[in-house]
Amino acid sequence: MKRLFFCLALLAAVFQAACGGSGSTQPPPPPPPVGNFSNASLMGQYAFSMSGTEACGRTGSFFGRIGTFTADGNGKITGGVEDVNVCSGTSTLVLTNGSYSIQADGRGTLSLTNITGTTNYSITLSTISQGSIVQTDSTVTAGGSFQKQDTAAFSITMIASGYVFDFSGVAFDSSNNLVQQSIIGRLDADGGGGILNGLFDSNTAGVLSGQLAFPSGAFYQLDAAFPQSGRGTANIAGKNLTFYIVDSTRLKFLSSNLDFPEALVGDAIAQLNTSFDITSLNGPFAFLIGGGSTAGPTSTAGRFTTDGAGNLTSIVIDENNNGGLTPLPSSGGTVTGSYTVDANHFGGGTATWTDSKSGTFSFIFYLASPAKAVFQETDNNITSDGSFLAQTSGPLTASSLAGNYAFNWNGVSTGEDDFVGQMAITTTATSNISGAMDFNLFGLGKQFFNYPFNGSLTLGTDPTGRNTLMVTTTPSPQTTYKFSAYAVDANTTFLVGVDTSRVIAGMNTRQP
Amino acid sequence: MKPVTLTRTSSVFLAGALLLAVVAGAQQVRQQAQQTVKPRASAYDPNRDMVLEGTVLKYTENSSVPPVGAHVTVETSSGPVDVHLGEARFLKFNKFTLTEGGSVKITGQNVSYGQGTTFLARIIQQGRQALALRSVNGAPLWLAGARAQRGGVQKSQQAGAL
Repeated sequence: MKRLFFCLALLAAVFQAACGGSGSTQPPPPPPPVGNFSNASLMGQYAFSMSGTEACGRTGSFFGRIGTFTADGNGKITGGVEDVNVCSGTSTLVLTNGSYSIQADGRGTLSLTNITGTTNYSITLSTISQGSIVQTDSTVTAGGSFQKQDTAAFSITMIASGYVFDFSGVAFDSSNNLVQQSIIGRLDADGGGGILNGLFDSNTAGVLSGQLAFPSGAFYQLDAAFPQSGRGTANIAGKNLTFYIVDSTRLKFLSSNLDFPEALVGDAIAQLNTSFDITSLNGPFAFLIGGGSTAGPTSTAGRFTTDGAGNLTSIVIDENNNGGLTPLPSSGGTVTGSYTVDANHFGGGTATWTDSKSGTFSFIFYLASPAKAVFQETDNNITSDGSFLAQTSGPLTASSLAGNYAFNWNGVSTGEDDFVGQMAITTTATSNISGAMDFNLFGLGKQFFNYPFNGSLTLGTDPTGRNTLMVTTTPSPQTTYKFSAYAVDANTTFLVGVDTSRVIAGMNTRQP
Repeated sequence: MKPVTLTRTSSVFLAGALLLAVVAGAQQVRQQAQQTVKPRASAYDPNRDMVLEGTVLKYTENSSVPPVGAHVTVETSSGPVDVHLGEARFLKFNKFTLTEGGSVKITGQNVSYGQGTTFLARIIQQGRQALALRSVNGAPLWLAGARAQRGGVQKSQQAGAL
């Protein structure tokens, strides 16, 4: 991107957890991959979503892509349809061909062909039901996720629940500038295309709407033209959107032609049918958000503990604001915080913490359950969103964190950078990481495939807080990526880059 | 706007009534708690904009000094000032070229950043050419890229398959 939108890919990943001249570069081959995946692991119909940067004119431009493909378990893509929102407009494109290849470690490649040509991707499966995806064309990079679809849910009556949602991308501000926007909220889908109790908060380049009820005209409907795709259209929070159903608990959204040139991408996930209050949050949480500020792209990860009574404690965070690093607690500082949950019991709320030296950090959230929420920063000039998830009550140790992980990172250095790969973490004290990855550096116009790396995961004194993960690519010239790592549990870890030369964030998801 | 209070219920009737209460438009239903707390020091304040005038000492497309992106060092009457411009590609897209030794006028402001401060440019002028890099509130304008081009973008400007 050289922009602020890697958060979109982060968002997709979080939902997944919750539920020199252009060209390509091939290093010496990495060691043979280890694992139990194969082409047969990718079989059936999958919904995908991603966002990133495309070359348009002579600059980079934000774009989004959602859709569905069907894999035959034998390396062929047999069908699908996708929606793209690019700089010249929006299109709905039928997939006419495609292929894929999956290695034993879950890493692989995918190509999708439509009437305009073929687009290429690198993927990593975390399970046979889901994975991460990066577009690896020389003129486009993007990051996102895909999940197996439940075709039985392709009925309007199956979309009948409360949902929380998080959309982000570019939209018009009050001065008619296209700037970054994040919208989070919740709604009740009535099973017949109607939407009730819609609430949302928008953050448009740091200008906050406050919590609003949906304007009139909210709806959702399936598209009869593509009955086997789970495709539909909707109006949510005043935005016109296209969506694809993953299952009755998850939908993927992209701004439709009606709102062009605005472009928002995001997911909605089912909300637990309960009456939320202050006691709904009681225990430790880890979070990851990404977006932008006046300085440029920003990402923050961390953890906090809620007490069921409105108090936040044990707050530890790492913010990377376009290379400017702010860890909390600050050196010699202390952090105190509080939270509220809305009196209407729909799961909205606020969180605020103040570092005695770095100032106040403010957020809003919508709870999907007492263990999961969409999360948006609301400080002046910051537009950043993602999720928080309940941290494990079990021990986080070198032993419990050892294993194989699929990962995706998205960020910005000289342009948007998107990475997808697999790493093995062992129980040794140092040099305990090895793996391989593909990545697309838009600023350089270069794609890198099968890049091996080594590294280390070093646990902090309290592993529920800040840990350190470092990865160094082994081909020369070596590049080292340093992260602060916040474990959600033994299966999922949030990562935020703490290098001053780039902003990068992502997550590790354990493979079976 | 008149605040409304929503109450969670399983009653379809009440839900319908609630919907009626909100169809008139997007009404604010919760004040932001954070509006009452002090903003973080990094906030861009339109009222604090100032103008730097001087000559270009150095232009760097991808500075190793944060914030990541294009920087220009301007020799002003009070000494050199490092200015963050944003995305170099955006300057190129708008055919804006900075020449060492050339006169430049930059509207923007110092904001707290990391452990120090940095000067963020909002408008840069060189000769008769001016380019807005950020909105009056400091929002980067390079994000949307060509998507923000007035009059739209021709499909021929797009590279590769969709």
